[in-house]
Amino acid sequence: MRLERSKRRNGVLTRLIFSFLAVLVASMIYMLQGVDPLDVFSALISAFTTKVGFSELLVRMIPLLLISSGLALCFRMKFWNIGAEGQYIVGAMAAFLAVESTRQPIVALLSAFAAGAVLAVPPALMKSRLGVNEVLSTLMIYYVVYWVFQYLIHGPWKAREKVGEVSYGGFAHTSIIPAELGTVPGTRISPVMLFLALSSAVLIYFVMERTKLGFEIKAFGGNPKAAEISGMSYFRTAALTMMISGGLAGLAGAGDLLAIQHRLIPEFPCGYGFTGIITAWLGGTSPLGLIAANMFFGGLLVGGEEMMIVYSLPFGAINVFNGLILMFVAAGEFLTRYRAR
Amino acid sequence: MELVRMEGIVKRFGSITADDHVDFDLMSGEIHALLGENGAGKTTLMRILAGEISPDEGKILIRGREVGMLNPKKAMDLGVGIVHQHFMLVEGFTVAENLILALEESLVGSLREVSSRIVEVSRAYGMNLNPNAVVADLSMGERQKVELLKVLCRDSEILILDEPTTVLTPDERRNLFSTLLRMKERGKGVVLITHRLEEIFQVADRVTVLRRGRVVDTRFVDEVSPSELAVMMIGRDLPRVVRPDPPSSNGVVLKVENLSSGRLRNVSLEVRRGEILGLAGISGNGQKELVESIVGLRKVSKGKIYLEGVDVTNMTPRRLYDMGVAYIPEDRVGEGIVPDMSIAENLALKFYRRMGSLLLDRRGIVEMASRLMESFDIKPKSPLLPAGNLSGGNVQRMVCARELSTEPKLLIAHNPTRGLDIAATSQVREMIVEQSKKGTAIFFVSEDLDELMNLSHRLAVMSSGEIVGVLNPREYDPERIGKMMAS
Repeated sequence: MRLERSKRRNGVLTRLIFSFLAVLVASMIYMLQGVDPLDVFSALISAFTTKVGFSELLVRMIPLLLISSGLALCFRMKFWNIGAEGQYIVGAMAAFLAVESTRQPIVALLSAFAAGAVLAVPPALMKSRLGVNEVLSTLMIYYVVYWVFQYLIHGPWKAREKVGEVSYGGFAHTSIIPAELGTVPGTRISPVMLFLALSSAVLIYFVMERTKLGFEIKAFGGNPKAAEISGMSYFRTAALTMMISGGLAGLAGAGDLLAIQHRLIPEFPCGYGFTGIITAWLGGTSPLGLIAANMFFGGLLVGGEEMMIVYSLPFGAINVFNGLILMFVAAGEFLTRYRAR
Repeated sequence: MELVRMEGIVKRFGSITADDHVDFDLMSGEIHALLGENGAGKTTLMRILAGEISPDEGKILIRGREVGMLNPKKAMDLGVGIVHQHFMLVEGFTVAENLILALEESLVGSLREVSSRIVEVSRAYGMNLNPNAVVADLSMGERQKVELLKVLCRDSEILILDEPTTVLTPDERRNLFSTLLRMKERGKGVVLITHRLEEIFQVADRVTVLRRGRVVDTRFVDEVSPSELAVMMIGRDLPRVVRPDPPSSNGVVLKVENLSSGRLRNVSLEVRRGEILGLAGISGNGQKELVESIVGLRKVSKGKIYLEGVDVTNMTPRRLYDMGVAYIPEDRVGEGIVPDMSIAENLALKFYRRMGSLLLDRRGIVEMASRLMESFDIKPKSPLLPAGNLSGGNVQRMVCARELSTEPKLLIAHNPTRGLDIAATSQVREMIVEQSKKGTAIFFVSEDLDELMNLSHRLAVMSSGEIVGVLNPREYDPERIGKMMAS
C-alpha cells in the first residue's frame, strides 16, 4: 500500500466538518463526566444566540483574531511561531508602562505593537543565521516572558492595597491603569479593538495577495531552496513576517489590558496565543475563514466557561475541545490530502 | 525458453494511460531493451512485472504459466528481480548487512555465510565487491553492484534494470555491461530500461520501443539502425545540436581562483564570453559545491571568484543575479521551482522585484509570463496553473525562460538535461547553444559525457574536488576522460 498526494485542495468546509466531529467526540467525553451532551450543545449554542453570550464571544474573538491573523501569515511561510502567547504578554506589559506614564491609549497600543514585534525578531534571526528551530526558540522565549511577567506583578509592579490607612500585601496584581479604551455600553467589547481585529484579518490577506512580501512568504513556504536561489532573503522575509505576527499579538495583549482587565493579574495570559495556533490553522489566510474560525472558538471558550460553572467541570475540560479539534483537523488534512492505494 | 509473456497490459493513472495494451516477452539468455522517452510507460510496465503496481487489464505469464495478481513478494518468488533507478540501500550499513536486510530470513545464515556468498556471487559475475565495505563509502557504480547482488543472491532468473547507466562512469558502464553479458550466458533474462540508443547497440539482443504507452515495435537489434530507433521513439527526426563555432572575443567573464572549501581543493578555471566550458566528473566529486559557491549559495573560505574582473566572492545570490548571473539548478523541482505557486509566479521569482513598489504588480507578472511562455514553448499555456502540474520538460523550459530572459552575462547550468526526454533535451541544448552565440559565458556541468563532448568548447574534468585537467576538442576521448574522472 502506498500513499499518494491528491491534487484536491482542502476547503474551509472539510475543516469545519472535522471540527464538528471533534465536538461530537468531546461531548462523549463529557458524557463520561455525567453531563448530558445536549446540555453541552445548548451551552455552546447559547454563546451564539444570547446577547450576553454573543458579546462575550466577541470579547474573546478579538484577541484570537489578532493573534491568529499574524500566525496565519507565519504558517504560510512555514515559520512555526508558537510564541504568540509571549508576544501577547509583552504587548500587555508595554501597554501598561506606556499608559502609566503617558495616559494615552494610542501610545499604549503603538508601544504594544512595537514590543511584540521586537520580541518576535530573534527567532527569525536565530533560524536564518544559526539554524535554530523556531518552534523551540519561540516557545522558550514565551517561557522567559511568562516568568518575567509573573515576577513583575508579584514584585516590583505589585500594587499595595490599602484598608483604611494600612497597606498590606493582598493578592498579586498591578494598580489599575489610569486610562482605558471605551466599550460598547452593557458589554466588554471595545469598538476600537474590534475594528483592529477585523482589519488585521483583511490586512494579512492583502499582504499575502498583493505585496512583494506576500510573494516572498509564499515562495519560502512553498520551496525555501528555490526562494533562496532566486535571491530572496530568508532573514528579511521571516523577520518582517514575525514582526507583523508579534505586533498583532502585542496589540491583542494591549487591548485586553486597556478595554477589559484594566490591570495585570497572574491569570492575564490565558492561552489565546496557543488557541490562536489552532484558529490560524483552521482559517488560513482567508479573512472570512479566520473570522469564522475565531468566532467558533470564541463560542467554544464562552460555552466551556459556562459548562465549567454550571456543571462544575474541571478547568481542563475546555482544553479537551481545543486539543481534539486540532487533532481532528490535522487528521482531516492528512486524510483528504493523501489517498491510500 | 520463454521466461515472461505480458499480453494486453493496460495501466491508467487517473486520466493518463501509462500503458495501453502493451505486449512484451522475454526469453532466457537474452538482453531485451525497453526503449522510450520519459513517460512512455517503460518503468510502469516493469513495475507491473515486479508486482509493485497492479495492472488494470491484461495477463502475465511466467515460464508459460499465468500468474494472476502479483505482489512484490510473489514476483520475487517467481524469480523476478528489479533494480530501481534510485538505490534502496542503508548507507550506514556494510554491503553484507544490506544484503541481510534484503534477503529473506530463510536465506540468511550467519554474517560470515552471507559474506562468503557475496564474494562467490560477485566473482561469478565479475563484480568484485568487498562485503565489509560501508555503503556510504562506495561509488555509485559499486552501489549498483550491491543492488544487483541483492537480486542475484536470490537466484532471480528475470532481471530488470531501470536506467542503470545514468550514474555510472564510462568504465563502470562497461563493467556493468560485461556483468549483464555473463548473466545472459547463464541463461538469465535481462530487461534493460533505457532512453539511450547507443547502449542498445552495445549489449541488447532485442529492443521493444514504447511511445506514449504503446508498443511501436519489437525488433532484433542487428536488424535495425539507430536513426530508425530514434524515429520510432519520438515519432519524428530531431536535429542534432552541436557546439557553435568558438567565440572570437576573449573577455574573461568568470574566473575562479584557487578555490578551496569543503570538498573543493584549489580549483581554478576561466570561462570567456560566448564560450561553453564543460565540467565532467562523477557526481559527488565537488561539482555541486563548486556551482553553489559560484552562485552564492555556499560560503567560500579560501580563494576568489571574479565576474568580469569584479570580486564577487561570497556575494548573495541576489547581488549576483543583479550582476547578470543566471543559474539552472541540478534539482529542478527541488530547487528550481515552487510547485504550489503558479507558472506566472514561478517565472516571476526573480523579476518581480523590478516591477512595482512595495506592492506586487500582478498584472505585469502575468503579462510578462504569457510572453515568456509563448517564446519558450511552455505548455499548457495557462499562466495561472500551479507549476507542480507541469511535466519535466516544461518545468525545465520554465526554469530556462526565467534564467535566460534577463540576458545574463554568465549562465551556470547543472545537469540541465538529466531525466528529460529526447525532444526536451534537444530543446534545452539548443537554448544553451543559442545563449552562447549571444555572448553569454556558459559553465556547463553535466554527467552525460557525450553531451559535454558535443557542446563544450573546452572541457574541464573534476575528480575528488580537484580540476584534473582541461581538454580541447581535439583531445576529447571518452576513455581518457573516464580515466581522469576516476583518478
